[in-house]
Amino acid sequence: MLYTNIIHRVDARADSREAMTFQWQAARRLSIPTTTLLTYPALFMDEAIADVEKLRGEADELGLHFHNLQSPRFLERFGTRESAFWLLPQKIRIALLDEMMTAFERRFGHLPKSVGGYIIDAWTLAHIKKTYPTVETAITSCFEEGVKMFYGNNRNWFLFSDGGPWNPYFPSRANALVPAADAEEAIDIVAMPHLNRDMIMALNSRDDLFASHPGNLFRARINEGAECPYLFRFIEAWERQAALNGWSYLNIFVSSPWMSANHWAIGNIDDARTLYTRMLEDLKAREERGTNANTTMDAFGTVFRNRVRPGDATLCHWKDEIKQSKREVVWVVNSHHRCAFDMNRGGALVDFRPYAGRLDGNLGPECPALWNGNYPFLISTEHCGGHWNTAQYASLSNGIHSFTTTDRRTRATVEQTGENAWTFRTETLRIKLGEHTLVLQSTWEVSAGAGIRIRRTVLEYDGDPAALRLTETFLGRPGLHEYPGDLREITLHAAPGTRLPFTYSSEAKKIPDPHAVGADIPSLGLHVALEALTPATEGLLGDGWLFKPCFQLALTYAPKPGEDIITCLTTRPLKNP
Amino acid sequence: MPDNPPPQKPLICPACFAREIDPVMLNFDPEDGGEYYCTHCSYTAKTREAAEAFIRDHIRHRHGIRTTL
Repeated sequence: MLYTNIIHRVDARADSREAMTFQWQAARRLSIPTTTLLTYPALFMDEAIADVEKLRGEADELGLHFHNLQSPRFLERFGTRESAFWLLPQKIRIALLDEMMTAFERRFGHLPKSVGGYIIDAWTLAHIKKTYPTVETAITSCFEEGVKMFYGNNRNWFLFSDGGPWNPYFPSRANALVPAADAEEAIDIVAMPHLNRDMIMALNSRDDLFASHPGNLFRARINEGAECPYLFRFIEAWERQAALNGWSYLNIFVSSPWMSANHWAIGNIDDARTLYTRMLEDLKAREERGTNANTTMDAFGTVFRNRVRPGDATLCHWKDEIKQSKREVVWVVNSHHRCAFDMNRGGALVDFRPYAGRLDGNLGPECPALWNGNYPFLISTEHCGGHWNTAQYASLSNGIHSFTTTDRRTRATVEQTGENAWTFRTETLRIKLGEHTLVLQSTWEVSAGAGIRIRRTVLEYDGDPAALRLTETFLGRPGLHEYPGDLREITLHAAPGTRLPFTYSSEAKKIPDPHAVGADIPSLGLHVALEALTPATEGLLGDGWLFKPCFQLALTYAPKPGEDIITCLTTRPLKNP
Repeated sequence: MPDNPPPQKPLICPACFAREIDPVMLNFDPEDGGEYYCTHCSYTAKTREAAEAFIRDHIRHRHGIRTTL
């Protein structure tokens, strides 16, 4: 079942309030319940509250939203021009929360169960839960809004929340972008994303434009008047995810300014409102077909708590809904890591955020991270210049000719094999090695655990199998953005007993019969390793150099046709980082 | 079964180039009738000519230049 959550935001400006009225009436006509979140200025504006009282239905939920704070009252009360809630000094954040909660209770007779912000860090979320235990759900992050959005918004949008989950989850007390491993680690709030995103554009472009937001689709110019077939394919794609996880969540949060004729991104407001209405009609039709439930944040939170436990994993198999090309990506997130496997590159791991270090991601002037809430990557082909610099992939050689899996586009078949367990595999690839043909299949087994099992199977080879070598390679570079940091903190290891400190020497050290090759990454607080579950013939530790600042781990095997070569990519916390 | 390598002369991805990300080369997928595809963005083209036409039509606009000089 897909659970769709229509969310409104009440703003104070007259044009926004008119747009809000349209949105509310459009939902009411179709009996679609909404979550409506009030902003700070609206909460203290009698006319806006009168709108809410007049327009809300019995099934509509009210809550708070921590954006659009700036107003004469805010400036007078708090004396700061900081406009982003997530960057406010903590003392002001608490005072603002207290004032909003008190005003909400005075206006509506109870405290809210749901709140939202573009980013709510772990410190703030834990404070909210402790002080206002009625809060059960919160919108806490904008999936993959970070470096690319900063550039795309002319270097003015200081919202960095790259590296977290796309789906609802129980956030860790250590970092709100990290899913908790268990109930003890979890802040007892269901964290939800601000919008669902196009999961291919999330990798390489503006996933704010390609999201569950008709207004932003106008900004992306992917519409033709009121026509936008992409929006309906997008909803369908999220409905399909339910088959892989047992549930799927769709967060549609169009704040009222986007439905206003004055919005700079909207050409024709009638077209924008027509598309918005058609979207609601589509969601209603899905509900009548029994594949979608239109719900509120609080009601979905209850569903989620009944279905999902802290520590569970989620998978997303996303196909190209924009161009409807062959491109596919498989995303996996659990309490240990978030991964994206790009089938356009033969299933290479192209974005890898290992969470073993549980890094502090709190924001504000008191915090070391200040404004950068991104959770660091160890692999990001987007930020590190393609798969030549960071990725995990395989290559094959017969001693004369070679082939790398990133050179072949493929599709994935995904199968849920148990609770929190999935297998996905590529199509069988027919590969030419000179005059010989080799047939290869790659399979990944993912779960709620730290290990990712990668299986390569040479199904056929018409040459001399004794000459075949298969190499699993991990190219890594820790980072928060494009510019590499000082990698001299890194030490490469091979079991047993071989070390290579990262010094930009370009040295490559070969190890016979290795059990594993790995690297200590102190700034990420973790050790990453490739473990040979099938006996490997050779390992490699590769130092980088300044023009290619990344480290290399590799395991080479002698594959025999019909036999599986299994490698485990895993991470663990680094002792005494 | 066509050989592994894409056609000899590489084509840059015109969509990436238009976004000032280059050089990103197009790969060639021989299946399904053959298609050029970008490994970075979602650009695809059935023929070299289509990719080159995209360049002619759009890339001249990349720095705000509306016509040829």
